[in-house]
Amino acid sequence: MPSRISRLSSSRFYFPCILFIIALLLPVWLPPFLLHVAIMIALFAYLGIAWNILCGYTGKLGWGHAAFFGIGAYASTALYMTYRVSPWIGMLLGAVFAAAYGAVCGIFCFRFGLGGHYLVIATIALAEVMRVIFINWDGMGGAWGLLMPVVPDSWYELQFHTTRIPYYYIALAMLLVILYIEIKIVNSKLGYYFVGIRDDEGMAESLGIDTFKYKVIAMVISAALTAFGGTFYAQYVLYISPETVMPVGLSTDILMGVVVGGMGRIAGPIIGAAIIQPIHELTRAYIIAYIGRGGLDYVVAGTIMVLVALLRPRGVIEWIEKVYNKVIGFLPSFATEETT
Amino acid sequence: MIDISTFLQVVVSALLLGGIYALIAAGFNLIYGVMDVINCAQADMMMIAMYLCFWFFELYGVHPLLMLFLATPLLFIMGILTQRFIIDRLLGAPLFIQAIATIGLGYVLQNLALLFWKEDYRMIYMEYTTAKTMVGFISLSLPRLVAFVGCLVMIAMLYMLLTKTDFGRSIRATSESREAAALMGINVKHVYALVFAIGAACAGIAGVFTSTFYYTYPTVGAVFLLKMFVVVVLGGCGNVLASIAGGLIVGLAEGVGSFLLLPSWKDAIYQVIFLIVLAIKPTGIFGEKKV
Repeated sequence: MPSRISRLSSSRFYFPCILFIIALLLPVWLPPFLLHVAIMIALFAYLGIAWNILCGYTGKLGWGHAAFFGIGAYASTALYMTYRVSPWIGMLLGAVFAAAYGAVCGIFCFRFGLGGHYLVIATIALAEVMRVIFINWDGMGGAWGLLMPVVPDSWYELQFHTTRIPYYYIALAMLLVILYIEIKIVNSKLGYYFVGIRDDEGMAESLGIDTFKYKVIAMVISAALTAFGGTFYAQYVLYISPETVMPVGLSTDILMGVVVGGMGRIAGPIIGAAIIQPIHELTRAYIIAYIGRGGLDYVVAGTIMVLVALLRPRGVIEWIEKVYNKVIGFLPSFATEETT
Repeated sequence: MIDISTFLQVVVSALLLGGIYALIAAGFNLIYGVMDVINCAQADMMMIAMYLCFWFFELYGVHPLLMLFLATPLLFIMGILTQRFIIDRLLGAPLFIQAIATIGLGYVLQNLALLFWKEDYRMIYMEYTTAKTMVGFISLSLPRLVAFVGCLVMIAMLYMLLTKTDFGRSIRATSESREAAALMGINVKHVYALVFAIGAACAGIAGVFTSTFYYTYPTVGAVFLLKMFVVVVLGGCGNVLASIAGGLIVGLAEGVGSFLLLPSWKDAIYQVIFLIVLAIKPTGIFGEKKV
């Protein structure tokens, strides 16, 4: 039995800690623009993990997470603009609304036993219906969207204009919380049910798992968690409209990161976001500004998607894992008792 | 309050648009039915054909309809290449991997168009594209009428190809069972390549017709992609003829819906109809998977 000290000094333990400390210290030396990239990575890693709970672990491919994201963004923004409710509370309400819509979607889709491409198109359609409702909902700003009133920096109102550093820490904290939730779920009975449903639904059913119930639960959890990301985005950008927070393209962006990174893996969405988001943001900022035309970012992202599908259908995580294990093996490990 | 002649006008225009939806969906449906592959880049291939028409008209003054003889073979070749280099390696892969690959391809096509041709909305302006004919008291846009008839003819030809020729028989055999078809001496790879190419060519033809009455811009595919899915599932997956029914329903729902309600609701209407059909009969109105 390795002692506690020796376990702490094992490279398997301290290397992730070093990575985390680097992440904590990033704002110190990152210029504001790169900090923005880091925030987008954290946000999309967060959204990817939320998506992964439904799709990676339960195996039900939903393509409509933009609706949940948008509901979260709209709920907190509308509450703040009408009643000056703090976005922190709006965030919770947004999650409740998104969970309710997630339950509706889940009950609709899974009651009728939709799977595969039927589920994909049904979730797209459900999200699109929600988008059209918001376009026509004048109380919510209609197609114009909502523009948040600008107030001085404050944690209560969750707005910062002088610096982006608080946004970064909030996004990082959200990422850590969702990682914790994800690991808890995956290692719980619930997580085993999810994976059971993914691997063989008929088998899971025959073992007495109420697959309908657990599929809906997965959808609800995924929806509620996605809504938090929506609120964060609304507070970060301070402008939301049906076209920016609810398009199908947003759902695609979320799942693209996960698929590139690795579906159904804990670190997959983080790796995927760390690959896809810099491509978007950096090409947008440098190349597009230079040649004056858009498009190159998605050409690169699209090529990566095709290549990943062809070469590494399980995601880039397979490569990263090898490198990671090599680094860990290379680093000095003081845990002498561990022989593995 | 609702004027009957205006209403008829709306219905007819909506049905005409439905014909276009039917043709792109037919190509998609063929690929899906035979290869079990969802080609999310279908609508973007259509966009490429639309740009071909636009540029050939703009630069050389070629009549868009003549482009049927150029865009269709080009898209056919593009289909073969796509099949060889991408789709062939993904047969039997999980659904989302295929979807990711074809969406990735769609992104590449869309954004190459954006990169080279900018995001401007482009339209072919000539006598033909603004021509009108009167049928009774209904005024019809000539290019839309031609597009509708052209699309129906193409679908009919596709159907004949599938049911009346030896090649069509080998396609149907392959779609029923890949292994059995291979054992009967059908070159399955060959069939797949041609099926995908025919699907892409359908997108090309639809693009040529569409370019005569619709704006051409890089993300025009997005307007059609979702409708295409809905048309396919409404009509019945893998059933090429059912695409016509699906296309007309979507066209009608969109046209009549935006006439009776506000135009901004039009996208929701056909999707709600789609969700209802999905709930009642998930295999589509004309059920059963067959080509």
